[in-house]
Amino acid sequence: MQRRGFLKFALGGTVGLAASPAIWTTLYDLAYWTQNWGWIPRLQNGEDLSVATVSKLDGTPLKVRVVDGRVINTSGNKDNAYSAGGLTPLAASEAQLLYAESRIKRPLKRGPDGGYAYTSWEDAESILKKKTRNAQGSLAFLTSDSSSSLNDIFSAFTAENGSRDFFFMPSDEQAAAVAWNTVGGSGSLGYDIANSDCILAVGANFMDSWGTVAHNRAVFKETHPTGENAEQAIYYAGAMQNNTAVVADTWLPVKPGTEEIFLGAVLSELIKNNIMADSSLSALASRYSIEEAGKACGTDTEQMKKLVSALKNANRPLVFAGTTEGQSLGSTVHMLAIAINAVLGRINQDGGMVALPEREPLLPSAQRYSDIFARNFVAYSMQIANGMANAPKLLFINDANPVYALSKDAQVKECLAKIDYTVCFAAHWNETCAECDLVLPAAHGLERFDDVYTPYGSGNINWTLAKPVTAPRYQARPVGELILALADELGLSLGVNDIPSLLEMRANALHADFKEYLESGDTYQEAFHDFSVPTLNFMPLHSKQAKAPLSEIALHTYINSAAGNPSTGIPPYANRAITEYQLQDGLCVAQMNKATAQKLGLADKQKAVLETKNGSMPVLVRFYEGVMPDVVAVMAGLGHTGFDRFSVNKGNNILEITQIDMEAGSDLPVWLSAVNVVKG
Amino acid sequence: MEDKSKEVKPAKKCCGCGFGPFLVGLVLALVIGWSVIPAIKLEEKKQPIQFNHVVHIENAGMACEECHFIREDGSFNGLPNTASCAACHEEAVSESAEEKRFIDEYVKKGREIRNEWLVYQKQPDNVFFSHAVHSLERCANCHTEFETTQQFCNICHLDVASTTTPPVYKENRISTYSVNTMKMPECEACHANPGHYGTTNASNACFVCHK
Repeated sequence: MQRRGFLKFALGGTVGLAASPAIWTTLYDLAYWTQNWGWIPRLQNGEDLSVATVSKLDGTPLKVRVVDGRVINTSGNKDNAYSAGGLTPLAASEAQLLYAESRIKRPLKRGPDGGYAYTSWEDAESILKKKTRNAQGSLAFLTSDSSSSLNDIFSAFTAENGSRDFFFMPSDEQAAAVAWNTVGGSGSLGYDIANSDCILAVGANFMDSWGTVAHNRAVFKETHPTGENAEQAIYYAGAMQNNTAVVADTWLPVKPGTEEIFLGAVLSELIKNNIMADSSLSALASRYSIEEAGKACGTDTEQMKKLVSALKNANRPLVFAGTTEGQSLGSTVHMLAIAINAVLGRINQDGGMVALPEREPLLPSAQRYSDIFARNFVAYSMQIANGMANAPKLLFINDANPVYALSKDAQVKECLAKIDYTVCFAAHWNETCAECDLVLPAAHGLERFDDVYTPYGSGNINWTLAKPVTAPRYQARPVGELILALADELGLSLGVNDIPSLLEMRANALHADFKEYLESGDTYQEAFHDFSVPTLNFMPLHSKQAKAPLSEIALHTYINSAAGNPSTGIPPYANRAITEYQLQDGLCVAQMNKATAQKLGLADKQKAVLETKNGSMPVLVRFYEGVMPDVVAVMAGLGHTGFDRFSVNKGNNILEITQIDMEAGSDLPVWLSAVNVVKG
Repeated sequence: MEDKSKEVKPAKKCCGCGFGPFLVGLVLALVIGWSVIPAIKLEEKKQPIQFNHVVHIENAGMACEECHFIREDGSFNGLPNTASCAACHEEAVSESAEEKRFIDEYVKKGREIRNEWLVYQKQPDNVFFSHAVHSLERCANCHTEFETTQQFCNICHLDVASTTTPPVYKENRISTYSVNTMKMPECEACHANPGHYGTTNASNACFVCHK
């Protein structure tokens, strides 16, 4: 073919190709092909389900969206009457935590060099069996979730191994239980927030981090209809304007550490205002006065008088105390709160303080909660660390992070070092894992059967079932099933074969339909019905001495409930919920009002150092007028060394340097507010 | 004397117009462009199980909606999963070799058939298509030509209800999508049709389909 002929042929071919769809469809295909590049995330379609369960982080009923077995997100359960569809920040982070980088993937064993190496479950189970057998009579168990019926398995296991050393982490619940028991109450203390028309919450941030938050918010929504008069008045007494203070009718600033004086003054003023009280309480009340409380607590006396008047004139007033971070103020403040409810005639009344029936143990060897609360872990830890008590041969720690959450005063690290063998069950790698000999991957709350039975802060008996909505990730296993298997290996009979059977026992005890509640995710509720007024003895209060403020400047630690808890670390997306008034430039922020800063010679955004006898911590000063005078507020929950990149290198752990004192008589830990602030 | 018989004669042209090579190239390219390249681009694949729709509809009396239905939350259950098939096929109910293979390889092994089934109309990830919105109830308000749901489904989907074996799945080797995947102009046949505005809210705005 000649050149001219070839060109004609090529031209014909070009025209032919252009007239065919080959080029154009290939370009179209190439456009589609670019969607398939490896780095472009792909949808993973599948069966799209909405499964009802409950958050094991804070008891919020949930709807979990599950696509093809994968958890996508959590939302409130609108079908659940108890929470009315409410969702707390912590419960909203469940899916993030399920897939968090900090999940422990396989059993880890500490080697002679102190480092951890992966081991098999067979090896881990063999170690557990051997160590438990050797520890006969010298086993201790620590857990943090008091609302779970699985505690019956754990406490029964401890008892079957010849020990009574089963502990919960220190909490408001424990302090209130001890107080209630001390004044002669029976059962568990409850707070009928839903039916009260006037609430005084002292320290208890019940709209954010104390008690049944989702339920409390549902009650608030119900009692505060938009555009209409509120049916409930809320008085919040605390050092800082938090999520409860901002929705309260009145915020009464009360300096940390003076809650006892504040409550005593309220009691005293009520009695002065012709509220009938027995001679014992009248004598007690005479120790306090509003004027003195005004000076000590930093509270306006006129506001206190208005508060007392509101409580006196309300039909269904309710008074309770607590802490923002769920620690402990000791038993005295709770006894005073009980005393105020008593003089107002609000014990075992609708909308008052109620004595809920103590949960009956489901298993023969399980320990009663009143017995468990009579022991406290901080005292136990300190005694072991100081050589005042024999260290157990074996300690199990389940879903608790005492190394991070407790101050240096509790001497947890020293205690763990003295124990022959320590085992930590945790879903996420935390600070306590790093101190234990064997770390076992525990199933996350969305991967296991569990329940939430009348959590602290409830006003009635209530119960919500948790069920696995997805298979455990990695090699995680539910701790309850693991303990049952271990008991079986050791030839111990706990009285139940598996977790669903235990939960069915709880359902039967409540006369509830197990399958129905498992399927629906609804909350079983039993209306409070025992209105008999107990005879209470407040004489133990007479031996308590009202404490004066420990320092001119008081430290107030609080938690940002969106930013996790000691067992979860900071959930990945919660980093956005931490404001520049809590963490800035890698430093924890010490919030204080301008007058306090001027008194301390500090300016906004200036570096400073907080000092306690447990150490010092660098902070950045930020002005915030929502903190009362002479108070420095610091967010707890920062400064993790465990978990993942979303938790580490973020400020310091204020809980570590906070001081703890042991309350005389009850031997309960009391978190102190003493602090010294110096320029950085 | 010059031998004229050995003179080189110019090549004889077919018709004398000089476009012969052009036409040959044109025809060849059209053949390649219209049939060879499309055929090369497509890879034929078989479904993991030779599912027989006719047997299930006519013999077992099943309705389409038993396997293909809109869930309560509005999402579409386009394919049944192994568990729902196993409701009947835990054990063999016929002599079919395919049924036996399905039971042995999927039901007994817990293998998910839905993960392996080739979807003829699978859309790219950046397309959000809701079956709930594209319902016969809504479209049949005007389009009275659709008398049955099946007719309506067949606008977009292959008519598999009358097949005894699944149609061959033809996958584009470049795009990796099925040759039956609807492309945007087909969507726009309705979405860009002004006649639909106000009656179906079938807007042609980007975010209607691309989330």
